[in-house]
This record gives sequence, structure tokens and C-alpha cells, in this order.
Amino acid sequence: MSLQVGYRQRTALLFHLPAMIILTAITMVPLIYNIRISFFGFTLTQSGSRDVFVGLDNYVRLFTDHEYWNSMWVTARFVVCSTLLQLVLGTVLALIIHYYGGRLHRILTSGIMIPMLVAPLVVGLMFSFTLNPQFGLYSFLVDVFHLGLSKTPLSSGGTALAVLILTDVWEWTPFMMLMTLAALRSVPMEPYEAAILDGAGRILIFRKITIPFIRPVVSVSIILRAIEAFKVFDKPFILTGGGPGNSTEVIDMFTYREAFVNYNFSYAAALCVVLFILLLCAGILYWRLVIRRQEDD
Amino acid sequence: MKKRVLMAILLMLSITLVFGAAQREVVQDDTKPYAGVTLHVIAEQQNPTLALEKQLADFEEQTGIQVELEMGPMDNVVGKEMLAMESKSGAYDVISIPYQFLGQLVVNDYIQSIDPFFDRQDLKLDNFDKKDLIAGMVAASGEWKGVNYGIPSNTCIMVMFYREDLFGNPEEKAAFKAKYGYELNPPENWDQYRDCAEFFTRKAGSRLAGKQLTQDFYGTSIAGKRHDAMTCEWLNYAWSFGGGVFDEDGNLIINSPENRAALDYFVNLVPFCPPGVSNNTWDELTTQMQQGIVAMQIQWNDCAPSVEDPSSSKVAGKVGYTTIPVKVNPVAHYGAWTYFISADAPNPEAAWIFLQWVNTSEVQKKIALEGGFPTLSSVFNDPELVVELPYWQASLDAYKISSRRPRIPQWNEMNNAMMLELSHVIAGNKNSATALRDLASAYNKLLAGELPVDYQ
Repeated sequence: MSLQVGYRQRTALLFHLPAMIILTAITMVPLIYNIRISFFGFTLTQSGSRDVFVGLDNYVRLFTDHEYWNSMWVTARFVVCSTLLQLVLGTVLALIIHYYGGRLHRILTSGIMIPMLVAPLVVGLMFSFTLNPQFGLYSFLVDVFHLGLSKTPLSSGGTALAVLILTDVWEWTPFMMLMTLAALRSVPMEPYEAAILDGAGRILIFRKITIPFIRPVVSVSIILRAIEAFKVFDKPFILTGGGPGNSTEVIDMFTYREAFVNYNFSYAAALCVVLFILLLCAGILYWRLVIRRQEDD
Repeated sequence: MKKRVLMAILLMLSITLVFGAAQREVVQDDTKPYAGVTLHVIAEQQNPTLALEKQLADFEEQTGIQVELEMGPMDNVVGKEMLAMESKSGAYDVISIPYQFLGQLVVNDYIQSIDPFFDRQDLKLDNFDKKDLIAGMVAASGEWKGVNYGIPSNTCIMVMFYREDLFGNPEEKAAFKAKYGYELNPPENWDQYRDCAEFFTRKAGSRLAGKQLTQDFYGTSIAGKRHDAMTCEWLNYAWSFGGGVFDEDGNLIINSPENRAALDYFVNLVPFCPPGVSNNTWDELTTQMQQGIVAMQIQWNDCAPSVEDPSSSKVAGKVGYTTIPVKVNPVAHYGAWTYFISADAPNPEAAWIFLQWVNTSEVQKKIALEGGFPTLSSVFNDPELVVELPYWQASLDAYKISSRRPRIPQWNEMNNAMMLELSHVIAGNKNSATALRDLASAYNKLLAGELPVDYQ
């Protein structure tokens, strides 16, 4: 028996090996290399800089760099606002479709999912055309309905960030909706029947039965969306270029600029390491505070 | 049977010998000493490069040298080139890169001088004439401290585009004279430029050149996005106003009163521009001109072919081109990609033959006819091109007064810092004085210990 298990384990290992090798090659090796060069002064525009060890200089520079802190603040606002809006809208849409969708639920679900299937770069380009002050649909609607809104929302820092958040919400609310809908579908009927027999109202049933049942899935969706939002790049790159000023320069754009415009590879690597640690900490914290508590409950 | 097999083998051997000898003859052909060599070239995907690509078969036929031409957008191309040169991979024999990287390339020994090649008679192409190269262009693009490193590839220069039909309209001329007290002509100085911009800015419903406007019309448009387009445009104003980045002695003058005046002037044009200035690059500016909603703009001459293309432009044939207005100095921002032979090029001699071929009049003329600008005087003065291309004369005039960006190793980062500060001013986050003060402080940090710069 033990021999058989050993054989089975070896076979399992053999089958897993290619995936493990590929994953190590494409994730672990670059990650380790990235951490390594963050301690060097590697910049493409200086010959031989690849091997100049600078210790923690890049990290010190990072913490004293106003542009870095600005991009972190922009990113934080973007992540919180877009994830929250997606959570609220996604849940509301899922509840509407679940309870009132009836026969149309399949069509509604498929229709709402369309934005999610569009590539982020295309979303950026689409909104860039839509918001064009001379020829765009948005400007046309503002004129026709006398909306009194600015026809150039991308020209001011506050509204430009709001536009980026809204494009993200437009694209990713369907994801939240889909996850919540799946969670709603998996809720067993028995607790509802029991609650109805006990005379519980709709709101009470929603609070005491629906929310606890869908919370694990929604929690995971939130963390997935928050991580994705942290990595946003395409939309600000296409729509605003980080401007006006630096009002929409998210952390990934800042890192991109350092790495591929200024060619400061080591500094960009240090930015990535810090971002990685921050996301890891946030993930662990979130896991402990929200998900594990749910499991304990 | 054995005899037959032997005969067949002998026959095959003879054929091999005959063709083998013939092939060796090709390799040893004195007129094609580098036949069989493959050159690796990388350049930005632009009209001139595409026009060049179409002619590569001629080069291969003429020299026997194969060319692998890699193209892509600017950031990708520059990134790949830098990576290849830094890692000394020898991936490219010839690289095309914007001239502002010249200092970096030389300081790091990433490229090699082409001066020794000019004297190599054994490598000289018959139809290449060094004297025909426009000296100013070659110096701006490829000369560093008296040594030549490259020859311009895709050149362009900034000129003024204006709606010739509007400026020549009698009604508009009369109205302008009544309002401003002088004749309406393409502006020669920045005061006139501002007046013209204000004059032509009109709401939908008003009349323009005898017709009722169905949409708002604007006097000018400027590039205000945090992008290379903005710094490229603004530097024209700065130089023209007597400012700039460094003075002739290499001292930093970015926070000078002239620059502040130039930046104030630039921003004060915003009310006469289509809304959304902070999203404009040269692409948006070209579209606005093509759509016929602006009267004038300061623009790269290589955008003119798109404006003159009737299939995409409402104003083809209605646009005039002239040099940029003047305040103190007549200037025109020169922009160019330049072909360099990388220091670790596996085939530098063949690369030099390629560079010569690119700069022959036959090749350059075909490039010019497809929307590019030549590097040779003979092609620039080609009567066919002067007559056929409406932007040709203005380009010629502009090249005579061209100004260029500094080419010091730090320029790339300095340019990015400039984009940020100008963008703050356009967005209204900072005034000109604060932005230029902050920019000067960023520059002082970047250039610590290197001021005044000894060569730019």
C-alpha cells in the first residue's frame, strides 16, 4: 500500500513538474531578479551601472520622492472608490437579476457582462473618443440635454480621476455582479423556508441569511478587484497620460515612467518591491480580518 | 547498374562544382564585397521608415546585403535599443533613435564614430555624395564634440499651419483691419499671432468667410497634454522669446523672465483653443486642423501630408505653411531620428554601406514623396517636390533657422520633468513662475555638479 502511495505521489509530482518549472521560470526568477536589481544602480542609460551596488539608496529615494507619494495617494483613491462603487452596483444588479430577472436573467447577465469582455486598452480608447470635446458623444449629450457639466472632464485633476474611476466601474461592475449572482444562486432554500415559516421579514432574511451566505464570495471578489485596481495602467495611460499635472498618475504609470521612459530600472524595481510588499500585507490583513473571521463564524 | 550509379554521382558532382564555383564567384564579386551579410536595423514606424522598407529590395539587389528592418512605436524602439546596447548583445547593426539621446550614447560608448568610414574608398557607394548632406542637419543630429556619429533618418521641423482661404478672404481681411488696425496676413510675430487667434475664435451661428458656422471655430490650438508634444511646442515659444534651457555658456536659464513670459503667453492662448487643451498632442492638433475647426497652429511639418490628404482632411488644399512667428529670435524646433552604427555592430562596414544608400538622392526622393523629409540639398531643391508639396518651401525656410533640444545625457529626464511642470500650468495647478522655479530646482538636482554644462 505504502509503495503504491509512493508511486502515486511520484506520478503526481511528475505531472505537476512541468507546470512548476514554468511557473518558477516566469514568476519566481523575475521576482528574485527584480529584488536583486533593486539594490543596484542599474539604469539603461549608463554603461556598467548594472553591477553598481547601491544598497538601500533606491528605497531611501523612494520614501523621499514626492512624485511617489502623490502616485500612491492617487492609486489609493482610485482603488477605494472604484472597488466600493463596483461592490455596491454589482450587488444591487445581482439582487435585481436574481429576484426580478425571471426569464430574462440569462439575457440580462450576458448583456451586462459585455464591458468586462472588452480589453482595458480598448476601453481607454473608447472613452477617449466618447469624451472628445469636439466630436465625442459625451459632449453631444451635454449640449443636447443642457446638462451644465464640463465638456472637458479630463482637463481638471478631480474630474479626470473621477472619469478614470467611472471607466473602471463601467468595465468591472459586471464581474462583481457575476460573482454575487453565483453566490446568490448557491444559497440553499431551506434557511429561507424556515425563516419565512418563522415569520421573518424580507430585510431580516436578507441581513441574516443572504448576506452571511454570499459574504465569502463577495469578500474574495473585493480583494481580487482591489488588487486589479491597484495595477491599473491602460486607462490612465490612454485617457490622461497621468495628467493634468500628476493628478491621475497611478503607481503603475509612475513605475512605467521610471522604468521605460527614464530607464531607471533599479529604482523602478524598488518601486515594484515596495508595491509587492504592500499588496501582500494588505492581502494577509484582509484575509485575517475578513475571511478567516467568516470561517470562524 | 553500378556504372549507372557511378555516372549519376559523377554528374551530380560536376553540377555541384559548376554551381558552387558560380556561387563563390558571386561572393567574391568585387562590387558586392558584403554579399550574404544580414544587417539588423531598428527604427520607429513612421512614413519615412515605411517608404524605406519598400525600397530595401533595391538595396539587397545592389549590394547583396540582406536587411532585417524592425519597426515599432517610439518607446518600444528606444527601450529595445538601449537594452541591446547596454547588454552589448550586438543585436543591431544600425539603430535609429531621436537625436536628443546622442550625449547618452556617446558617453556610454554605445555607438561608433562614422568619420573613419567617410575616408574608406573601398566602402564608398558611387551615388552617395557627402557634400550633398545638409550640414546643419547632420551636425544637429549626429555630431558630438567635433566627431560625427550618425546621419539623420526621419527629420522634421516645426512650422506654422494656417488656413490660407480664411486669411485671404476679403471680408475677413476688412473686418480684421477695422478691429486691429493692420492688415490680416499670416502672423510674423507673436502679438499678431494672438490677435489672429482671438479674431478667428467664433461661436457656432456666427459667420466665417461668408458662411454661417454650424459649430464653434477656434483661432488656434496648442498641445497641452503631459506628453513630448507639449514640451516640443513650448520650446519654440521659449527660444523665440529669448529663453530656453541653457544659455550659450551652458548655464541653466530655465527660470528666466523670458521663459516666464513665453509660458504665460502659451497659456494665454488657451481661451482661443478648442476645449480640452490638456488632452492635445500633435495627433489631436492634426485632427482639429483636418476637421477645419482651427485657423492656425504650430505643428510638425510631417503632419502636413495628413492635412493635405483629401480622403481624411476637410481642408486639403486650403492650408498655408510658413515659419513660426518671431519675438526676439527666429526659431523652428528641429526634430529627427538619427541612424547610428552601434559600437558592437557585428557588421559595421555593411552598416556604413546601408547608411550611404539611405542617403542617396534616389532613396531620399522616394521617401519625400511618401511624406518624409530628405537629408540632401539636391532633393530639397528638387523642382518636382517644391511644386508638388505645399509645405515644402516653409520647411526649407524653417530648416535654415532650426533650433534643437539639448542632447546631454540627462535630457530625457529633464524633458519628463518639463512635461510635468508645463502640465501643471495648463491645468491651472501652478502659475508660470512657480512651475519654472520648481523645474529649475528639479534640473539643479539632476545636473548636480555638472553645471555649467560644457557641451549640449
